[in-house]
Amino acid sequence: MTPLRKGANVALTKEIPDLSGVVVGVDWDAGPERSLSDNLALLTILCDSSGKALSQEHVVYFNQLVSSDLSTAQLETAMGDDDEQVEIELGGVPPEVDSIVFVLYFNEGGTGRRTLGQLRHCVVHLTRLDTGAPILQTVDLADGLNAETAVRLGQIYRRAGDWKFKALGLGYSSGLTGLAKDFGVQL
Amino acid sequence: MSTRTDLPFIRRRARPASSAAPPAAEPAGASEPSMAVADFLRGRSARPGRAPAQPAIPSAGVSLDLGESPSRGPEPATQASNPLDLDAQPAATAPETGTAMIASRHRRLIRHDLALPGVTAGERRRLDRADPVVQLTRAQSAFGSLHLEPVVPQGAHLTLGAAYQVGGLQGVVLPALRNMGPDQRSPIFRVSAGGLVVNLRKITAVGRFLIYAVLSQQDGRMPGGTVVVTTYGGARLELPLTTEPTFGAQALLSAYVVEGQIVLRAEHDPFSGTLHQVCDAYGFSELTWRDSFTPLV
Repeated sequence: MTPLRKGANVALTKEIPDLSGVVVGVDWDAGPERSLSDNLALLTILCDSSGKALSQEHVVYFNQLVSSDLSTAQLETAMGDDDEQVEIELGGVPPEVDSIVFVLYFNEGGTGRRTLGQLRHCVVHLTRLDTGAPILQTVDLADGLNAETAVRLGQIYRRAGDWKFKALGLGYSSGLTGLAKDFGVQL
Repeated sequence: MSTRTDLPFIRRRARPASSAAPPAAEPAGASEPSMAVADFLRGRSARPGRAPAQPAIPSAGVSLDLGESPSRGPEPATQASNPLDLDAQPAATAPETGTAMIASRHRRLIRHDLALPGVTAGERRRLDRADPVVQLTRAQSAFGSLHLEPVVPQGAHLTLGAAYQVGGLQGVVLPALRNMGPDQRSPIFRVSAGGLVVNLRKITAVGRFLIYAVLSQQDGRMPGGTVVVTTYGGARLELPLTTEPTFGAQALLSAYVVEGQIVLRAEHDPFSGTLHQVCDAYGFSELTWRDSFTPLV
């Protein structure tokens, strides 16, 4: 399987017509520094057509593991090699949701200042929700990160009735604060 | 990339459904008895048997133990509407208006409206005696950290510390003794001369915590001033401090994690004590001590 490059996209439901759901897994290596690895977290935002969170209940993370429409859920403990996993039932995603964005951020509450530039690697895998069969994986999205403390890893989005996935790897030097402002997440 | 063979197997155990709701709905703190939480929210954890007129060393016979486990029988169905009844299970099937009506493998988070005031980003809220409780949102309880800073008159000094219950275990942080806990390499609670920080990344493991002051003044008198609590998003809570004499330690602020949301209460406790007595009085009775102001760490 050829890894998906940053900026590239895949037409998920066009390529796999019976695809009912996906598991988005994020596999990272923070090295031996626990102050980095223990403070990384995944944030999944269900966005409307303006790119803002549909509501605060449509933001999924470790303290809010399920979206209020039940379409999107983060596992408490990821399975396999992934560090975090999110399950998405595509048929249950509200029609108002235009895209689902996946963000990895460093929680700025621990000791010392860490950045995502210290990540050794960060790869996103997509698998089928029903069978666990692999669909795709991205290139190393940590490549090119420096002082950023949050990164948009990728997004699943609607286009002409189909669901597509796009690999991003866009870093935020303003961290969670800047990202939350962009997506209308209330901190 | 090799085919993932573990996912179908593990999914047959319906892991997502069970894993989705409990951690958020029942973080470690939710193992606390619901009656104790309800008492905390109602403000009933004040000592019922203590005379309010004079500063006194808390008696061992009175119940301040928020961690007590009062036995409780099955609730009548009519109590399910009680917003303080954390046992009530809200319906977890119907999606919100405007969403596709499909059967989901995921369970809705348990949410109870505790009818407690909140605080928004940029807002300043005073936790006075008449209005001592505030409930943070799930986001305020999870992103970044809570900062607690004592702002006291020039020349005065106030040392903050915390007793906590994390994953069922109790511990304490106190400047110059144990600055970080529970895990020194990856702490949730961190104290310094400038105040106290609660790292919220691991909030799902936290059941409750107590913020206390240890007085360094010779006379043990509270210095006055304010303890300022700031969320990552910039909401600000202000706890006014007295200038009353103490026995050396004073409970300031207690917190429970209720269904993923931190509920903070300014104690305004007319009683003080040694640090050992204060921790005991607020249910942190599993700690062990070298002396009345020095916990074993």
